[in-house]
Amino acid sequence: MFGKKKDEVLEEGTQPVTEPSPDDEYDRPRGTWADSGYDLSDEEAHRNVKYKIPNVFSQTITMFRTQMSLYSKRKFIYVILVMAILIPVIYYMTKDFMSLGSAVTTPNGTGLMGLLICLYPFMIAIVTGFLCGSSVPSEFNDRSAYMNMALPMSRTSFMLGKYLAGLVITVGIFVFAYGMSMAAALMKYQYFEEQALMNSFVLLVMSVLVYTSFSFFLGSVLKRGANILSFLLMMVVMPAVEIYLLLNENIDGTTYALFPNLMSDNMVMALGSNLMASPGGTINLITSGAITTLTADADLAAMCGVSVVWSVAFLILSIVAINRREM
Amino acid sequence: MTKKILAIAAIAAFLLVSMMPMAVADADDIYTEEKTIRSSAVILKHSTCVAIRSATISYQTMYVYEEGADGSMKAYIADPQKNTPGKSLTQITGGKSYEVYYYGSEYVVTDYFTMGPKETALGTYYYDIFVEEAETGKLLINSVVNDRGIEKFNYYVRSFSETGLNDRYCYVGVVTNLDPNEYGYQVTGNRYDDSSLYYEMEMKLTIVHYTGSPTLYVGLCIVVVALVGATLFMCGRRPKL
Repeated sequence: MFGKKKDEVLEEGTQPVTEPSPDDEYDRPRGTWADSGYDLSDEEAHRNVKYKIPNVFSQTITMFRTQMSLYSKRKFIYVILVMAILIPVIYYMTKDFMSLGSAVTTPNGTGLMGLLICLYPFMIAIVTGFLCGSSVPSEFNDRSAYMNMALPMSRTSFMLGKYLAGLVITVGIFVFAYGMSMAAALMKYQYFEEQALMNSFVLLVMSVLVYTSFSFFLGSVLKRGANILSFLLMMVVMPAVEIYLLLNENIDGTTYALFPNLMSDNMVMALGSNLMASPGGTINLITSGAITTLTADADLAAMCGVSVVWSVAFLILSIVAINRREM
Repeated sequence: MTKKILAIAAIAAFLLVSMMPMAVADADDIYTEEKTIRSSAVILKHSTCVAIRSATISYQTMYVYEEGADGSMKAYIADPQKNTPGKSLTQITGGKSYEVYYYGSEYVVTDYFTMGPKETALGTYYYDIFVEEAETGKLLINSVVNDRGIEKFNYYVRSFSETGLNDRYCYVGVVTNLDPNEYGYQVTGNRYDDSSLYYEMEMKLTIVHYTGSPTLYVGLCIVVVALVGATLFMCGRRPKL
């Protein structure tokens, strides 16, 4: 560790060098590092090295890696992945009995994909709540935040690293599920509606962005995890108000489609499915796809813009909340 | 390790940025080659339906006439419930318009989701239209005209495709802002039976032939999942702090 000493064997007739006793004078000549017999460079021996605090980006990457490592231990993630793998399996077992009927607006490959991934709105609310809503509170519950915060680390980096890890892992999970539903649809259909595929894929990413940022914000503000609260707000309270406004004609379908929490619904509807595991999906099914019809003219660019603004706003609020949080 | 993660992030960003324009380009080039295989504007009267080539009507008895008052009957299907169009339908050729009449009771929805107080659900008409694989049909009702020639537009589109024996029919719920109680809408004459209202509708049947391939998106999914998996693997299973 400290390098190899050059003169290990004493020459004949020389006196062994004795270790200086505590009473020896300290100003006796001791030579230079070059004469000391160690061949490490200054850098290797940490001589004359100035240490600096890593920049914000490096700190963020470090937190990202740490959070990803923690995620790799979460059994919940593997359960979700197994559920995604089951999509084509279940479809294969039931395809002879399955009839698309009026559950899809366009009974083709993309419509079937939408039907197979109809649980997406429900699952994204649950998964982001558990993964992103609990990442900051768990640091405080496990007391590890008190060690991290004491380090010369920016709280913004701390927050961003955790959020990015949650975002990446959630995108990975749901893109995997999306691919599985596509694989299942490929069993029956050869041709797909590419515009619908592109729209739905973009909306998938947007909905992940929206849900992760909101869950993370709640986790940053609350002392306990925001798993259930995030789900209730995004999947029950907000949709109830929005559906009420739509049915009472206070807003039109195009405006309705711009609510960020409905991006997951829009993603499934973009594939051509009327069936969604969400309040809007239930209304849609009862009314034979009325919401799908009303929101058909919604602008994809506007939906993306609203989602990005929403996500950035909640990220900024999360940063403010964490920076003001008392230890 | 940080450099490796940065390298993965750079590759991911490059792939995502480079694949998205490809997706857009593909959508423009080979996205759903929309070709009108059959396009026929016909007169749809109450209890009247369009039949195109191998189309027939479920649960009703259908008569197909050539367009015009003196058109000869081209097809007669007594029992279309068996989904057997019958040889007589081969007389119907594409590119021509036919008047099609069918008789019988139609299913009228009562809980239809209306989009406005003045709109009325006229009823649901069942069609059984046979399409080929990878084709999706869109039945478009362009307008609804009353007997006095007043056109009050509304349209309704239903899509259908070959997705199995039970899915080959589509239903069309005609939602219109025509008020049946308004004077001139309930015509005493020109009824095919005493109980039916009289509406004329122009209908157009367009069959869309999809040729889009999901290969790009399959690749996109594989790339994204692989990158996330690689990142997870690179970060290890032990906390680094």
